[in-house]
Amino acid sequence: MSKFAPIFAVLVVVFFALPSFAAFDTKQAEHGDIKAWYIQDDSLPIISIKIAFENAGYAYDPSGKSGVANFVAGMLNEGTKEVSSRKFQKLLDDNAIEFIPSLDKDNFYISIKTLSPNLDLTLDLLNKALTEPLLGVEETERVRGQILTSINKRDESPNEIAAQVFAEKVFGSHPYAKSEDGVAGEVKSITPSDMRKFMKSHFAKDNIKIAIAGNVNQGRAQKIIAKIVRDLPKKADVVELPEFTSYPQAEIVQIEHNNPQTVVVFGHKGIKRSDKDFYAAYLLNHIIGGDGFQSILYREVREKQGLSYYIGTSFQGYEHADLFTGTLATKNIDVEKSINIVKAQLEQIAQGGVTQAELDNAKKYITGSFPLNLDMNTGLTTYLLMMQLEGLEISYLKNRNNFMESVTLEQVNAAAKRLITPERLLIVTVGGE
Amino acid sequence: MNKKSIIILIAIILLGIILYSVFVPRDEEDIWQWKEDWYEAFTLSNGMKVIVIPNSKIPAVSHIIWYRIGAMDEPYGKSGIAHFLEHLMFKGTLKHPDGKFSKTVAEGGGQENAFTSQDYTAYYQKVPLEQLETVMEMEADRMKGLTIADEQMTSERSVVLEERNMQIENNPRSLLNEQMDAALFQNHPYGNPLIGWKHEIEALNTQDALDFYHKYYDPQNAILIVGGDITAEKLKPLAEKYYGAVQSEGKAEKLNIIEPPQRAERRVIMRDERVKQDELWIDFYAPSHTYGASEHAYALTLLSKILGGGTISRLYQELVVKQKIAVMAGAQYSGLKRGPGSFTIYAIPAEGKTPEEVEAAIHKQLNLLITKGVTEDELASAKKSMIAEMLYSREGLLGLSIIMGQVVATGLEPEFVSKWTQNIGSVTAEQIRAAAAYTLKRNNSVTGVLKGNE
Repeated sequence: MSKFAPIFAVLVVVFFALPSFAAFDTKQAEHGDIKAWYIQDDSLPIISIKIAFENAGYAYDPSGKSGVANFVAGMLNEGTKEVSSRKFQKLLDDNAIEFIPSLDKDNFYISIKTLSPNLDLTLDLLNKALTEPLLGVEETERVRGQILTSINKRDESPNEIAAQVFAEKVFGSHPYAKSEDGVAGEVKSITPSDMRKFMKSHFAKDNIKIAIAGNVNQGRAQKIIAKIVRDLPKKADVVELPEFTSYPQAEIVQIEHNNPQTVVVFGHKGIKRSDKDFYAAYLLNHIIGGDGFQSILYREVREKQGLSYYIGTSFQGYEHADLFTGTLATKNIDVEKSINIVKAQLEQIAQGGVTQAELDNAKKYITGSFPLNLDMNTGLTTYLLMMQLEGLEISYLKNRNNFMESVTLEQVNAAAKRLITPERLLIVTVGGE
Repeated sequence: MNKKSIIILIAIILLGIILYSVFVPRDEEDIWQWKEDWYEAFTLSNGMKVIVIPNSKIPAVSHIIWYRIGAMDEPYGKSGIAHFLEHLMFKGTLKHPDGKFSKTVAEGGGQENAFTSQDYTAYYQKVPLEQLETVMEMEADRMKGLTIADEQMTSERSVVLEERNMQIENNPRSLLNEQMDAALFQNHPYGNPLIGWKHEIEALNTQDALDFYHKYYDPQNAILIVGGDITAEKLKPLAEKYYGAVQSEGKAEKLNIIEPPQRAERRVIMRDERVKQDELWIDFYAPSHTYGASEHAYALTLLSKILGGGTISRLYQELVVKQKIAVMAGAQYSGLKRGPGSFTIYAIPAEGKTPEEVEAAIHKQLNLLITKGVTEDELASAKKSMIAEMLYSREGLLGLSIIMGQVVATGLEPEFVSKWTQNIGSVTAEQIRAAAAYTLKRNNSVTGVLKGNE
């Protein structure tokens, strides 16, 4: 049995030039003073829409009513004043219309996918769901039961426990400490009128952002904006959260959970999206613990030592706070060893920086893989929405790789020195002895 | 990003997608139709199959090689070797040692991963077009050229054990499902966990991996699927140059294990202090598209949608909406397998209700289904929903490639994908009733109950 394949010469042949392709061509549509950004691709009769209501995420749940935003998300397909819950869901199901709500700390999102012949029906249902929800007693109790179950199931998961404890430890009394599902006791007290109040004050014309991709043109985009916002109030009635400034000192928090493997979450302050060093930090993170199999922590923790199946880091920007966090999971006896490796690596990077070769490779991956994420409409709408929320230029998709390319080694290493502070790591572990 | 993971979930989701295609004539008929040349297939001189699915949305391609080898082909006592080998395939070859393949893909801006199932093992890269040839050269090289150092094996085995900890040991539901599989399949290797039993993973070594590799990794056992900005005409010479040059050592014989008739209802009860809310699962041993009474497979697909696909399904409407004894209920059919399929029902009891009460209500629904069947309305609605869903899978570079790969890797012809629409469209209500009567029998089933400590 021959063990090796015949030896080939390594050939890298470029057989097509890279065209500048339509996926980057972002356009703007307007209706009144509300705008949407969209990218047209008529190859399939599919339209993806993603909307965001700013300052309507779960950090904005009123005090004593944690979980309201999540509850509203759960009620989104539970009928309107005119259409019963079952009928509403049957219309979605029969026509393959997707309404997928999601939340982060700051914002409330809805991802919509539909076939273009069903666009009018889709927009009617969305409009009514946002402005004339049924919020019936029976439906409310059903969804409440599901949310309480998901809270129970969350408490079975060491990953979710670790993430929540970490948020509480970091943010303390700031609303960013809240959990998405809310606290069971408070979820039990939420009424349809609480939800109605939340929707009226948080879903408005002045805090909506709209992104569209797929079988859409200028006219269709205008129609989409018009229908979505038609019956929304002019202004949202929300008090913006205060800036978070009191980042925690180093600490290790151990949570006992009877598992053979311990989940470890670590982190400290990060960087704002608007900071001049943002792109340097982005590249830096890729080198430390970013996507793919080439990061320093992947190599040191997984490949060399076999300690964890997963290890990754990221910079997370919120509207009023920013973090650098990472996570790994290792068998209980190896927790200390794993943490020590992470700390030692971070110290070395903070002090000694990274190499030109590491930066060059990171740039190659970050710029080369960027267009690969743009083959799906949902990927495009996510970018278009982020661009609007972050106040970026409409030309961002075209220029983004240039921003990455122009970062120098000095900038990355200055960012490492400023941003990576292992002596301040907050570490949460959830696992057995 | 999970490297080299067992993508069970992806398989389930994609299965769901492929199961959701149907042909319904209407005004916009042509938008639902497959173009005649949506894929092209050819065979290389050494017997390796290649399928191209053009899509020019971005100047990139997905390149996936599928080996018709999975956990079901493992030698007795070596559970987990298929998946472990998949991890080790990233270590390198004589020609491209020390993870150079992954490094090259990353530096070219490409993404990669791999996944193992009971039925197949697949390696994929999504790369800018100009990197395709490099990837083809390197993937062809590791079809026969893998080298593994013992210290690489040892540390990767620890990684796999941590993967098992994360996916199975840390998760009571996964532990229950593992026990249920072991009870459902009495002779077929599907009864072994895909990732392997912990004690058997711990004992796997370099030689085990190389033995499995040399036996089964061969052009005649492989299918290449390239999706994206390329045509068959352009791909063919490259495929011949790299993959065509890998010498085939012939198809290794695979065991063909047949299940005996299932004769007894089984019950698996797991108590685990970590469980905060009880769950009920019922698995039925079922035909698949390639195994057993496969004439029922299309009907079972529609049945899973009508019985438990989404909130307007029978189980959800009956148990959650009307009777309020469960907070969640649904069903799932896995019919795209090399071996037997399975039909799964799950429910989470509402507060104050027991799994046993929910179980009784489910069986009442199943009896009703078997005696009275489904209505024409339910059938039409399920078909309508499926045709629309199918269109979504045509977006992007990966969707159709993965569906096509699963179809071909499980032994079906590529036409299966195009013909799916008509075949689902022609299923009758009586066929669904008959498929339910054939499959949803207690003697065919394992009931699993997950509970917290008493």
